[in-house]
Amino acid sequence: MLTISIWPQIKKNLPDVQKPAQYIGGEFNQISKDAAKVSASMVFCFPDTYEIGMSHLGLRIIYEAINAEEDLLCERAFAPQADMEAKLRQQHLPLFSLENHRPLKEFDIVGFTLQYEMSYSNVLNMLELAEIPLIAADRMGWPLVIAGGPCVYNPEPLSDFIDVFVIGEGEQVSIELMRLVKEIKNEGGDKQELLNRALKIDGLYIPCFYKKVAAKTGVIIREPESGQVPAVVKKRLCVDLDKTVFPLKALLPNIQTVHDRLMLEIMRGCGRGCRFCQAGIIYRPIRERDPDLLREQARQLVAATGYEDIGLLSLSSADYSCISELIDMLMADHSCRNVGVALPSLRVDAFSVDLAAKVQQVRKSGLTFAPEAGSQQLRNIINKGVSEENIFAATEAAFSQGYTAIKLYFMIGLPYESNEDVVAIADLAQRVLLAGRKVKPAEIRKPLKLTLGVASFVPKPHTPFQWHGANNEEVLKEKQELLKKQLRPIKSITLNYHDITTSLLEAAFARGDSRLGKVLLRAHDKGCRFDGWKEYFRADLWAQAFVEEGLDYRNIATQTFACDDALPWQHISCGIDSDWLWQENLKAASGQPTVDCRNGDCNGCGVCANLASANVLATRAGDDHE
Amino acid sequence: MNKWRLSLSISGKIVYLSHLDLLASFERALRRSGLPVAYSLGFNPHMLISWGPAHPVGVGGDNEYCDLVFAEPVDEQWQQQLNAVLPDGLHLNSARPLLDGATSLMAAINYAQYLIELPDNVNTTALDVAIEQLFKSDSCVIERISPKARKRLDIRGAIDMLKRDGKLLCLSCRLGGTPTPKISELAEILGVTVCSARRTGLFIDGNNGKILP
Ligand code: SF4
Repeated sequence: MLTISIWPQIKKNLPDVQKPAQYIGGEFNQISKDAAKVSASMVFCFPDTYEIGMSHLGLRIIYEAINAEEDLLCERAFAPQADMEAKLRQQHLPLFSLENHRPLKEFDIVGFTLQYEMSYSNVLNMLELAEIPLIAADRMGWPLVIAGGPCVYNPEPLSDFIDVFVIGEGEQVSIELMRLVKEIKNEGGDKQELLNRALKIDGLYIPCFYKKVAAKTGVIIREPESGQVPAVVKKRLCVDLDKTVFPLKALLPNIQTVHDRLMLEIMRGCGRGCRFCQAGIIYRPIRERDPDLLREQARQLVAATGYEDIGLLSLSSADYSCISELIDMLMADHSCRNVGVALPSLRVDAFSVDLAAKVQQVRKSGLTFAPEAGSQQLRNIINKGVSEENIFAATEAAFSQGYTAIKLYFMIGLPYESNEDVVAIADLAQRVLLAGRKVKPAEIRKPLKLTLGVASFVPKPHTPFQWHGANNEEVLKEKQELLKKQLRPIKSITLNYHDITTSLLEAAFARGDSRLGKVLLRAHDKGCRFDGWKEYFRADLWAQAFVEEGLDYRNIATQTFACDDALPWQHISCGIDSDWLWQENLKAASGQPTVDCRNGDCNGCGVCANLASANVLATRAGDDHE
Repeated sequence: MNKWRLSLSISGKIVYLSHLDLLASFERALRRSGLPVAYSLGFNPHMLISWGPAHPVGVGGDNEYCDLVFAEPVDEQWQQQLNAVLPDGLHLNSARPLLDGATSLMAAINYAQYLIELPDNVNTTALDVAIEQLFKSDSCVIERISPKARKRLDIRGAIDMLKRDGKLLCLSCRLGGTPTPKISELAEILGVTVCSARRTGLFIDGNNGKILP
């Protein structure tokens, strides 16, 4: 195993493909181990291109965590682009890892990360290119095919293809699983034996031990085959982030990636409880890293990579308890070397703009805010704790500091949304622009520009809105048209919105059950891939695939569930009590707020008790607590 | 001013990086080295480096050049210090201090030599005929298709010398004036496939013959 390298064959094709550097591996700081000296191997597969996958922190963390273990090995693989895929198929070359150009099928474990529903067709395509049978039940021997990432909180659409789903944070459980592989291989056991014993590892969902049962609404749910199988699989969680591995010798991508900067993870989780946001629920509780540790990590990372920007990663970086101090420390350490700090996620308030101003001491970039809804009433419904004052304070601060272009993110199709709420988006944008013109410094000539990114809301599992259906095609279309009409006369506002079919398909795969596996297989056979890319997305082929299976993605996307309806993902738990989610859903209807639990006001979501954890907030030595 | 002219070699996998990605990789190495590279002023400060002709993707280089400015004097060790942190395949051959007012690399360099390796089974008789033909004619028009445009270019003027030596092709090209062929385009004209290609040298071709930058 793991002895073959197909580099010579791949190399021959490099002159004929776009961006050949994405296929060569060998990046600075790459970890390349001797396969003969390890006892279990995994290839981490990102079902999108190298440029996108290499910006993904999860990949970096798992890569580091596994390779830090002497007896284990992790390599990387990405989806090849169309030109390279054609070459591989013509020449019957299997999909390969980047470190040593080994065929994926030679690894013990082929692991996918599922970041986005529209990448599912790429998962199937990569398996096929790897010459690995797609259907789990057809795969007798190795490799074991596993998947993790946020989409596994509803694993069912992929449950026919994946042997084991890893629920929650993967750094510890991947190692446990690999050690089990090692044990089984030593004993000469087979994959079935492995699956049997993997039942004892927490956080693993192994679909073959669950039967498919039709609930009274017609959706297919999963029930354990026997008493040894957990009825609900609870997510894994790293309670103390300061004790987890973090990659300090970060890989330097060979080609420019979408976020080409150092990734410093400052916290996980978010206590805000926005009712539409899956990330805000599934990554709970809040766990902040120690600022002094972060300072040291940043020093090592900059020294090991030479990167020009340090990105502070989290769901909402301005929420991090010691954010000002942290930024001051990082600037003090690095700005003399022209290394800047980047805050990819800003809150909508003046404080965030001050932070942005602070980090702009080195480099200037645009600002983005996400009020999510145009009217106060709807922002209350979704529990986006942002007031109109916050929005104006933030945007006016930005414009008065000389920014001339701001992006605002909104959603349409939210539960309880009326056409007035949609018009309120256009209205708010215009008022922001007018207010901005008043405060704009006189010496700046450039006219102000606003860009509105308006996404269609996709209800996600494990959120208070999981029971709601998405708006249907006609309603979404009408709302988009309404916005267009409102904004057409205003030249300084650019409106971007999402393709409706893509959003509805995303919703169907986010909320659908195991029947979607057959649809996915058909779509794959018809040639669907890179569905998240406008230039490759084939709505017609997807529509055919659904028709042939007798399903309608529109129905799945827009289906509303009742409180006691069985849900396709009810056997997966992120630690949050489902009653609490329902209560939140009820509070949404009347626009009642739920406060951020980071300040000690626990609102009883249950995750802390269920996962024996707690919010961990950072403090600095010398901090006096009043 | 503390300006240096660097000669670098590019080999191995890194030759597949685009020129821009290679520059980014070099700049990150400079930052890792801790050497006091000078930056431009303004909102988006960048390192004061200027490169000679871009290296073509997939083509190695024995002597590629860039000019680099340091903000403070550097000690003798600086070249070793930089070599210690360069990525695999990128190597600093040598460096020499540059006087103020030296002509920029892009303006000065106008001549390049390549070594092209052909497969074992190359039809040498046919190739020799193709080379002869190329030199007999005074024009050789190729079509270059990019996503944006389709251009017809006469590359004959750029080719100064082309010689076969066993399975090796030695090519000398004039740069900067008439359009220069890509290695792949030349291979197509000659009807051969290419195993690997290297730019062996870049020169300033003037009244006194070819000199190194
Ligand atoms: S249990 Fe309470 S403190 Fe813990 S995350 Fe939930 S709401 Fe916050």
